[in-house]
Amino acid sequence: MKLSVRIVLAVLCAALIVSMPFFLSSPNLLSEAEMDIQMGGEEDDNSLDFGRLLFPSAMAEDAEGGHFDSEDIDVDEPTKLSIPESWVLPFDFTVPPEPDPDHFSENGYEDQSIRVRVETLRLFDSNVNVAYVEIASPSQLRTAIDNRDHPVSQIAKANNAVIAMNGDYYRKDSNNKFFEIRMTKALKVGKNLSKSFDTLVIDKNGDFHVFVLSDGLKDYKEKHMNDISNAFLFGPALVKDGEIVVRENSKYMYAPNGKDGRSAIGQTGPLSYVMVLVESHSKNSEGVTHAELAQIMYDLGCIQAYNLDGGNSAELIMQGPSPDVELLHYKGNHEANYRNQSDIVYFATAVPVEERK
Amino acid sequence: MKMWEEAPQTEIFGIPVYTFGLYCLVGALCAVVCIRILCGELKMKKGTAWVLSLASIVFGLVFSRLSYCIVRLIGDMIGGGGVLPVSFWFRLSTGGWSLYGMIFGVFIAARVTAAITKEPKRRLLDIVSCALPLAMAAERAGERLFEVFNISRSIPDGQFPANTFLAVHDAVYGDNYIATYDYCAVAAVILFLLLVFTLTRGRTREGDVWIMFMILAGAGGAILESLRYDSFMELSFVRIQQAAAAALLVWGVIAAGKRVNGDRKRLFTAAAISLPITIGAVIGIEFALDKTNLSHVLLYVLMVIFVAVPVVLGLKLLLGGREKGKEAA
Repeated sequence: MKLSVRIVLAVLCAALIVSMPFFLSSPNLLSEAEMDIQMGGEEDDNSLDFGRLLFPSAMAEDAEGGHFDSEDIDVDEPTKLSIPESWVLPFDFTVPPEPDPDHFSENGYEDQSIRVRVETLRLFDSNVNVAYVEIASPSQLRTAIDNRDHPVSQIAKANNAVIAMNGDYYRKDSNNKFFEIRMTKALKVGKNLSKSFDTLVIDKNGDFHVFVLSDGLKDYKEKHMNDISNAFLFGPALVKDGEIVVRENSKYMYAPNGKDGRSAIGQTGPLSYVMVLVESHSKNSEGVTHAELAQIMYDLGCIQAYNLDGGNSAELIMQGPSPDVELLHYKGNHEANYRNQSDIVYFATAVPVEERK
Repeated sequence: MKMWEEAPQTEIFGIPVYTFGLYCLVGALCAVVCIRILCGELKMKKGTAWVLSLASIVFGLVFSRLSYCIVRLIGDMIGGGGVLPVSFWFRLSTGGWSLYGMIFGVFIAARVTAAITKEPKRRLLDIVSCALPLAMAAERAGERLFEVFNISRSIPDGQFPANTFLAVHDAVYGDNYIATYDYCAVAAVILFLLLVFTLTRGRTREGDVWIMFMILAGAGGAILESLRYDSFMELSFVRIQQAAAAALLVWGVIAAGKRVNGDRKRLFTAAAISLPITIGAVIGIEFALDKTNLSHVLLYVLMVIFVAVPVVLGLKLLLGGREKGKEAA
């Protein structure tokens, strides 16, 4: 073989090897990239993209990520809490500041950015633990994922949660018809969304949007994908636009008409929420049905409310002033051990540690 | 240039690059140097090393991507959530590569190189088989950068190898996990040394080292992939990477068997019979690992024993054939 040919081959080899750090980003498809592809987005013009050269039409659909005007919730009065712009937490998995030990009370927590009060009600022959939460900025409503699975208490502690509850089971399910987003990171954004499940979407204003049997979700996703902070697939939807979601002879999920431990989250107003944990499998708390839970959420003033994972998975936890002592810890099934979870929903303080007096 | 923020990055001379890609660069560079040296040692025609290197990189990348995309496509079709557009297959920076696809691509590259240079294809397969473990070691070391991949089976508190260099310690939760990617990288380096030693000793038939690679890399992969817990390339409960490793082992044993005749046919029959038994046993052990409280150490010892049977028989077939060849000479 001629020397010139050998040189050309060597140069080609070197070029390919040197180019590797510019396009070999990850062994697996990055979820960030997957969302971009699902939305028909494009990479920067300078990036290595043979697809654009070969399939220009497939890449041309640009997502309409326009501004979102909340239509579902009538926003009348601003929250009483407010914080400087510089304190606002990012919509990502950054661990927020630790709660201030001096701001805990025996049943809650309050500082400049968050107000939490927990009480236990007796409803439907059950202990219904309710956390009323107000926050100053939408990103204080946060989620955390844990790829290795741990108890809710451990995930909450690792993320400096003021108050936390279990998320949904389906984050780990292999079904790609689901719509699962956590802190703007798309975990599952199937093109054909399941019509068997209700979906809860939380936007970057902190407003809830409930989609019964995912009806309307596809359109919403196409228009507002960039405005979504979190999306859950579990359900059922309990309250939608201020009305109880009624289901005759429901067969939704596990034992919809049976008495069981339940966890639910609802929005009562702008940046105001309730987290509800109903206890079961104990002498004085038998649990509730989905319909009863919907009634509870409605009575608590929810405009939108959604059922999360229940039974042994249901937990509501509030860290205490000391990092090793939990202030409150309720679980859905009194007879069960704590179950490892892959995600939580939680509320955090936005007050930076250095700003505390 | 847009970089995906999710992927670990570093800067070289102020230019941001993907760290995983940097590991792959080092692996590819080492592999090319290895090919160059071995082609010289084995007195291949001038230029063969460059043709083989270029073909290996191109075919390795193409088949690696292709394998991932096909598995993803099948998974999407089974899942029913809609498939990713074909353009995704060509958007290389999105991530999505298969190690075993890369290995298969490099085998094809050796055959293409043989057709171009008229060198014996089995000898070229021997050479790339020596170089491959270097690329594999670097790639595996690169995978440990990703928290989402760096998930392996957990180690209960106080049990070996917790709190040793053989474990990954999770500081947030205080848990210990098996350091699978380190094991994979070390195993690949050991495999490289073994194969190079075998090839350069000068007593091998053409293709023996390639078959050894398939048997040993396949067996090692079948066990090491079991230690992972990161759901990478899964179809339902089937781990595609582990199945691909098993396929490599089966291919290696059959290739070894096809090289023998006469009295050693019985040994080949034994090796062939051991394959489905081993695969069945490994599947059973996998279920036991996931669904029972049996000791994981015990189950992995059992898995190693079962996998060792076709490996020993396969290598015996190779070794026997080699001795027979020597006698004839």
